[in-house]
Amino acid sequence: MFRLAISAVRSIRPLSISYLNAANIISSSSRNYGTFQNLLRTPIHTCIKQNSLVNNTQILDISSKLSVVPVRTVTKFSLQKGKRKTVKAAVRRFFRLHWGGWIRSKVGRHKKMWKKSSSQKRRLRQHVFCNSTQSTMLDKMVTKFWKKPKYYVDDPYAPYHTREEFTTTRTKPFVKQ
Amino acid sequence: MGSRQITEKSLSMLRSLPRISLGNIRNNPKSKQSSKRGRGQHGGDKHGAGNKGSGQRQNYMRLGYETGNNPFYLRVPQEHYYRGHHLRREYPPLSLHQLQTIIDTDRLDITKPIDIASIIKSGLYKFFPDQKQFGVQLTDEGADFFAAKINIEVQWASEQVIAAIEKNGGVITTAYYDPHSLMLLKNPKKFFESGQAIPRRMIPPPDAIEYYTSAETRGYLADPEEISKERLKLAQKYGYSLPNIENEPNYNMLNERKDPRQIFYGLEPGWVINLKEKCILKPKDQELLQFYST
Repeated sequence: MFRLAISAVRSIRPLSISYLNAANIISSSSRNYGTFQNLLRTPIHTCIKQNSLVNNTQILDISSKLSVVPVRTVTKFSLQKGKRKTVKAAVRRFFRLHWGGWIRSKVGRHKKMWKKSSSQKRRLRQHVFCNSTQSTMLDKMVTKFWKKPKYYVDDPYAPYHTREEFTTTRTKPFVKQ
Repeated sequence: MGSRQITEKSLSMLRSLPRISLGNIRNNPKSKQSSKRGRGQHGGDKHGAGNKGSGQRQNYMRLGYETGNNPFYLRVPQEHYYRGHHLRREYPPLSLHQLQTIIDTDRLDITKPIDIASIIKSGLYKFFPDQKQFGVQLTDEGADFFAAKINIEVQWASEQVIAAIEKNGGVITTAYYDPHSLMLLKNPKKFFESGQAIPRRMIPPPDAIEYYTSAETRGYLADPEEISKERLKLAQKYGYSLPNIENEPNYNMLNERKDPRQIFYGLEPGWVINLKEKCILKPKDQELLQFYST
């Protein structure tokens, strides 16, 4: 994204004013607008020339696009509300089961398929668990919304959300029938 | 006092005194003095930050960063497990076992039709309509020992659940409520205190219409004749004889259903409940009556 923006700026250069006139882009009156007296004498909008950088439509376009800079790490305190934010990159790749385990797809499952054996391709199609360290990290990357159990009807992951079938992971008491 | 007595007394005193051992000896005060004078707060030590490297520089790396490797959480190919989660309807489960417990502990009156309002009122079912939850999903856990004759209205039920309830001579209906009417059902008192007229229940969204008009799922918009046919079919499939409801003493209770536009049992849309003066205000204007009846 950032690289795109830089290349876009480069492509503008020949369109705008040549280097000799570059000094004229910033008007003399706007150079010293910092002093309070100047501000009072001349309103700001009159300082800006017609063909200055501030009015350049291409630059305005880019600057409006620049606001969406992708952030792939965790935000602990957001700018607006000071809240924690979810790492969207993690939510796009992983799935949290109700008991706290995370599942993922296998790395390289679409790469160089021509040279992989059928059994290896079968293993790549499978979805596997993350280990404990990875699960702890992913838990820190998401907010409580993603940790709340979601009860959908006909959920394909329903059998994996609980671990009632194992004695050590069972949560409900055994019912005599 | 002889010298022998003195020795014995001093020996007995010695026995009661604390002993010097390897565990409690220490140097004389100020006998050991360092030749160096460390600078800083704790005599020039590392302040608990360790020796060398990332720890000493207190360089807390961002979460998931692997010092230049392609991080694990970005290495894995994308698989949108959560795609469309903001549009999907949730139905928090209530098992038949839990329902039996609620009935056995007398928190649910089975002489009246049961709907989501009475289930929430029992206090054993957690429900949040603001979190895209659309009502009760009855699950078949405990279907083998479920033994209550009830007229229940839930929002989602599987075939086994329907069979388990109809086997006992009960009636089940699946009905859709929009989030707003679920809010009213969760806390009716709060709504009545606001002094607003009871709204109409909205019709199901397009993807749920098929479920709620189907007789197999006992939808509330299904044809009653079709439902009685399906009841017989299900009895044959699961191998039980269908109890005859018509001969029951509480036939009227079992046959009671809500109108597709109705939210509360016994109350119609358009009515205003005045809790302070304990009366119900009903609309008389023709335009209002027409609005609430459609």
